[in-house]
Amino acid sequence: MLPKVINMVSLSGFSQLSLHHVGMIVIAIILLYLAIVKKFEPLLLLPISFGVLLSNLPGTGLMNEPTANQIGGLLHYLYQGVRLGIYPPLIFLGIGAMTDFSPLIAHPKTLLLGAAAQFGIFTTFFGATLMGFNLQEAGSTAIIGGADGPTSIYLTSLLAPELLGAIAIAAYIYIALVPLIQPPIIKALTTKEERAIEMKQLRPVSKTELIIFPVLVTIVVGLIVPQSVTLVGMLMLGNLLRVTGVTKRLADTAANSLTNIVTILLMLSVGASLEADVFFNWKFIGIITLGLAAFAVSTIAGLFMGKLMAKFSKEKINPIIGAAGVSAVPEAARCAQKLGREANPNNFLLMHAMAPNVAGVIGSAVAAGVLLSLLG
Amino acid sequence: MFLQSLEVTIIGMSTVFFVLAILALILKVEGYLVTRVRSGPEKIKEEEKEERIRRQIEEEVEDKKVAAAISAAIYAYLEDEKEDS
Repeated sequence: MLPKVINMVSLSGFSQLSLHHVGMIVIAIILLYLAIVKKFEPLLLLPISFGVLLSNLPGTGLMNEPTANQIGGLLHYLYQGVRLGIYPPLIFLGIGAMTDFSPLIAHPKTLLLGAAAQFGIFTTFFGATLMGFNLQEAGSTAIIGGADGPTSIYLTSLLAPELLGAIAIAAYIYIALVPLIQPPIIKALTTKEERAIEMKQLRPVSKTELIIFPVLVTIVVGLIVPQSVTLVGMLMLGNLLRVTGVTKRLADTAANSLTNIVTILLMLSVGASLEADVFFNWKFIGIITLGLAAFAVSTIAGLFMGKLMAKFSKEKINPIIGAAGVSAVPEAARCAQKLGREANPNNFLLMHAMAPNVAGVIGSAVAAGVLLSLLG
Repeated sequence: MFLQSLEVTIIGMSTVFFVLAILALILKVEGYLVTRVRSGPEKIKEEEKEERIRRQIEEEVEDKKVAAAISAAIYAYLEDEKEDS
């Protein structure tokens, strides 16, 4: 009996526990605390942190690859959806089914605000290469500036999979921190008078326009940047399911059940991929710093484009909607609405800010496609 | 490496702007056409007429405001003159 007990003890996690494992378990608990108590993107951070915990418990073999006489661990198989770039496009399908593009269709000029807000991605890419990241790592880090979690995960899984966990965590932390990061930047760069500008009500958009939009975007983007069609195409398919009115069941499934299922699988897999070597590394600190810089530059570029449009446009444009060009939907739009109302209680900017916000989703997916075609 | 990353930065940003600008242009034209088709030429003429009348009324109101301000100033001046004399 004693040899069996000794064997059990030698197979237990305690005998294989290293300092790295302990460090990662502590990090998992901190992330769980942030998700549950501080409510930082709990739908995403909770499965991520639990994935970190599961994969860093020694001896479980959850991330083990299959061998000739043994099947692989559960998380290894779930991770294939990330590695092969399957989960992020499915999330985009759900996002498309949830998104109302009518503010953008009614005010197409705001697509330029969505484009300007991608500036942070490319300036950070340049900065990251100067800091010593290779081109693929720099591209994956810079995409955090688009403030789009699935896009960051998709691009990183194809360009620098070893950084996946770190980049996903950085991206979602900054998305959760939009209400803290953006207001000081917006207030510093705009006057109260600018923030108080009221915008004209948007025109109503017909059903025909709503149906043409996803097809049109898919064709145009697909012809110019084919690499971005995986994301943009799925986004537009989801939207088409929503707007036609003949596929309500499918739209409902894509927007709710499918998105929820894929979110669990994606976040669990991302968390499981976060290893101690990646976390306790100068690159992780670099990713966090560059991610913040990318996000701030994107906000500033959106604001300046907003100011430019306000100056040259015939109609009144509140420049702070430019900051909503980063694709953190709807947090960035809510932030513009809140600051607009603070400056002028009669100001209702939410729908106006939603236009550059959803333009940012398209913009960051296009930016990811461009980086993929240039660096992949 | 420096030149390569500079290239990616410039090409990347230009492409994103180009794609979204093209989309903006197409959507603008589409919106214009759909509004025209939906409204029909007669309705558009009617809307334009209403808009013209609205502007005319606004201009008249503005003129009246200016006239009222001028007459108030003249009246105040005359009152002052009367008091002085």
